[in-house]
Amino acid sequence: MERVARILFAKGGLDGHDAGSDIFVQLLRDSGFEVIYTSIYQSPEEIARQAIEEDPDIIGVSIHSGAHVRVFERLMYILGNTAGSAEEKWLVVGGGLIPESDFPKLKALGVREIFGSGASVSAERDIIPRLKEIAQESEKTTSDVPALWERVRAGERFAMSRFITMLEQSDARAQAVISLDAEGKTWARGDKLSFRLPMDSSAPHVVGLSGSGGVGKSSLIEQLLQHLYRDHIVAALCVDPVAAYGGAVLGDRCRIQDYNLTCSANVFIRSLAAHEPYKGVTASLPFIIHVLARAHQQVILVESVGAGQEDVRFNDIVDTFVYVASPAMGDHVQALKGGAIQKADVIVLNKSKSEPDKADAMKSTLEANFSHERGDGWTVPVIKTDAVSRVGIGDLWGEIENHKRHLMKDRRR
Amino acid sequence: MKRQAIYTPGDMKARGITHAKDIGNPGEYPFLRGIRETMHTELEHIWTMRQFVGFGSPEATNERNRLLLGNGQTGLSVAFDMPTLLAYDPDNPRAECDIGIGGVSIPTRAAMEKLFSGIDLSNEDISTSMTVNGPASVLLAMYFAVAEGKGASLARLRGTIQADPLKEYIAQNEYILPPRALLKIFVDMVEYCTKVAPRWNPVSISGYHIREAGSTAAQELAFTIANGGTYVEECIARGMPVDSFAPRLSFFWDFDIDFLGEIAKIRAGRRMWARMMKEQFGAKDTSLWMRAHVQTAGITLTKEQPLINIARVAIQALGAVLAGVQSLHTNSYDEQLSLPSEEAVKIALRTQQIIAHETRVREVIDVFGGSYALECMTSDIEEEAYAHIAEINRMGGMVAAVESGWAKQQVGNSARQRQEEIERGEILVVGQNMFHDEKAGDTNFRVERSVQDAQVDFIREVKRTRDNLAVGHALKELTGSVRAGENCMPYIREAVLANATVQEIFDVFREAFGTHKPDVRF
Repeated sequence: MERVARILFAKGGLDGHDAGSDIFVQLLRDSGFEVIYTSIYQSPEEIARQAIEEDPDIIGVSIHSGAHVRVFERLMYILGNTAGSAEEKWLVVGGGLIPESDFPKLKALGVREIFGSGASVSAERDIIPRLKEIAQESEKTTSDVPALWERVRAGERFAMSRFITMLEQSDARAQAVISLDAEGKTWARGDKLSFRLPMDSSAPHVVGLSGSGGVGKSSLIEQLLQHLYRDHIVAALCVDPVAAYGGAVLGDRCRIQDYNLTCSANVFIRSLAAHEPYKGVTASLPFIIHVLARAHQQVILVESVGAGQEDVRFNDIVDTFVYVASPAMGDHVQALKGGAIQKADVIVLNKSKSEPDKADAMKSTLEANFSHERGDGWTVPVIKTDAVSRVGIGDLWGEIENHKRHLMKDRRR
Repeated sequence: MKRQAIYTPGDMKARGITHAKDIGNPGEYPFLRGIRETMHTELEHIWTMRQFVGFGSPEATNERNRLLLGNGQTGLSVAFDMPTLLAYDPDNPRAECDIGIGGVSIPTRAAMEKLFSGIDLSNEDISTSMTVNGPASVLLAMYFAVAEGKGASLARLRGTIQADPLKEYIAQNEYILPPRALLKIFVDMVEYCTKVAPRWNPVSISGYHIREAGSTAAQELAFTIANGGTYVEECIARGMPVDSFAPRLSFFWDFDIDFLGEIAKIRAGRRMWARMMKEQFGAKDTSLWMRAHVQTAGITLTKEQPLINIARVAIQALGAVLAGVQSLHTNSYDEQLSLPSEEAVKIALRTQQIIAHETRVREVIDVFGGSYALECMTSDIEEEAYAHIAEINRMGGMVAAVESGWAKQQVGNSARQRQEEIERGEILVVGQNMFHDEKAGDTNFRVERSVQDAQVDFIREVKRTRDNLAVGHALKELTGSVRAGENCMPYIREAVLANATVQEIFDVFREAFGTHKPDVRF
């Protein structure tokens, strides 16, 4: 498969002008880019950190506030002084309201190109084709893969990120390293290699969240991260589907935005695009989870829309599968039967504060239909949460941990 | 709104427009022709020339304000920097890049004092407008404290603070807190002002930002009126009789380059507001007045051939005056490139003065009144706006429309369409998609790093020398008042007097209510 260009797009500094950038993100997607949109008010530190974790082909920073010189100065400094990242030839481009007299200064800092603004500069005609050209210069490869793997084992953030990129590109050397590393702990399903480390106290707890669009999975991920990050080394993988023209907006970062999470030493977040036919699960996901496990993550949250297809099933990859619903589904609970929810280990009813009565009714319905005792002794609980109001998160995590204890007792995966 | 090449008496009739019911006279309900009987005909009562000013240090902004007052500006208007607007202190790392760039840095009462040094706020001819939303409550308390310190009586103090919560979620993104929290603080401010500062406008209900974000004129009109109606409902729900606060609700419109359309929009706004206040809320007298400030549209300015922006602004300013507004800011020609230079802002001010003193348009009130074209266009855009409002009411009102993201999405759709029309040449912009010459303008205006550092030094100094026990105590009292659901303004005042910073005070609200993220849907 031809590699799609990946762009991290941010409004830099305390810039909140998102009217134009919202349009630009859609145009990028429609042109085939994978866009990791970070949203507004991104400090240089946050942009650098997200770039290191997302390993994009291009880092695009748009600034309409006038603060561009200082923002790019800080950004280039941090990129050039972070382990692993310092050796990278980052392709940083700038746009917005930047006077031409500042272009030389920015170029001297290492900014690859700066785009003018205003209606005479057409995004479609002028900027996006140029971005595609610049993306061709991107080299996301490493000559010494074993050395990179050692850095992953040492927990270096950029190394983790670059290794994930190589797996996403189906780099055979990277895949070989993983297969070798996982030797003895693999099992084959059909033609596909699928594996997980055995469930023991040193392995990470892999928690998957799935459910339809709009139920608030990203907000739940954010709240779980908030709940965990002070005492756990935690990673989040956020999977978004690819759109019609092959591009994708990987928008989960927008909803998880919080300086404490973005810049915490304990948190690693990565956005992934799911191409057909995996429908919400990427083929490289098991390998990526292995990378994170080897980099000492204690909890790995995986968020996806679908539940995979026959050969790469979500609940095969995760230890605890959490299915998220919301009161808006209301009368369509019956339609869920036979679907992903049947495989859930924990069911969450999010947005429960928005319609409390409906939520109570729905909780009962969900319990009646899906909260059964399974053959293995686990009863699927239904938890009410409201991520935006920070309600129920502790309870949810409690149940997830209960499930882990159940698995360990049971020695099952 | 399909525009006709010619409008006739028949078109007026077809729309059911009658003089008695719909047009009336200036100073009479429904105030289509103007809120006052005399409008600008008396020189002492023409619109306020109020240029939006702010950059770098309080000292630099103070100097620019004194220059403008000396050149005939008749009102002050403060532009704050992004750290201030988002309640981050200059010594917060998040503020570092943006200190003093888009406006003046005012994190403490001490900074506000420097801003108004040498300006006599006890002079009732001077009124100040402050453009701030998220932490408006804090900046308002600071201004009141500084004004009182200069001998002003709060009971007689005139001015405006923008403090318009709902449009932040639709357009400007300076909300910080979730919608209902910001609304609560808004009602606190209105209530507080009715008691201690009855001549102060505690809100400037704004269409400007919505339009600048790409909405249509009808959306700007509809969302602004609907927001205003929501604020009236919220204040009434608090227990305030409508006529106790409504006379002090003010408005802020954009003036785009569609000369006739914009005049129609502003006239329609006056009539819609008067009708809503009377019919829906039973309000009386000046509660029915839509007092409006206008800014010429930033979005119509070009980077290319910047001097031609002077012509655009002149046309827009003339339109605003003909539409009968109370206060006007004219953009400087270089505003697409940077903060305005001294030369450019003087030209902008002189533009208003030429209109006021040379053109004689102010001698005749509402020249377009009775015009077949303008009366039909006014009714047409009013109808379009009413359709939007009906849709908003069906979904449960403006708060619902905002919380669901619908309002922002509508604006986004219009913005995208506008962009496409410009790129296809269906909307023409001289110097951009026609008569384009390659050279863009440039700017020499920069905020020096040393000025930014000086603001960090100053706040550190303030924090070091103030009575920190008093600050701690005041913040604790504020926290308690939030928990008890009291009006927070008196407590903010105490904190401000002790020189608590905007971030310290607002962190109390962040803690209590959480913070809000922008709505992003693709």
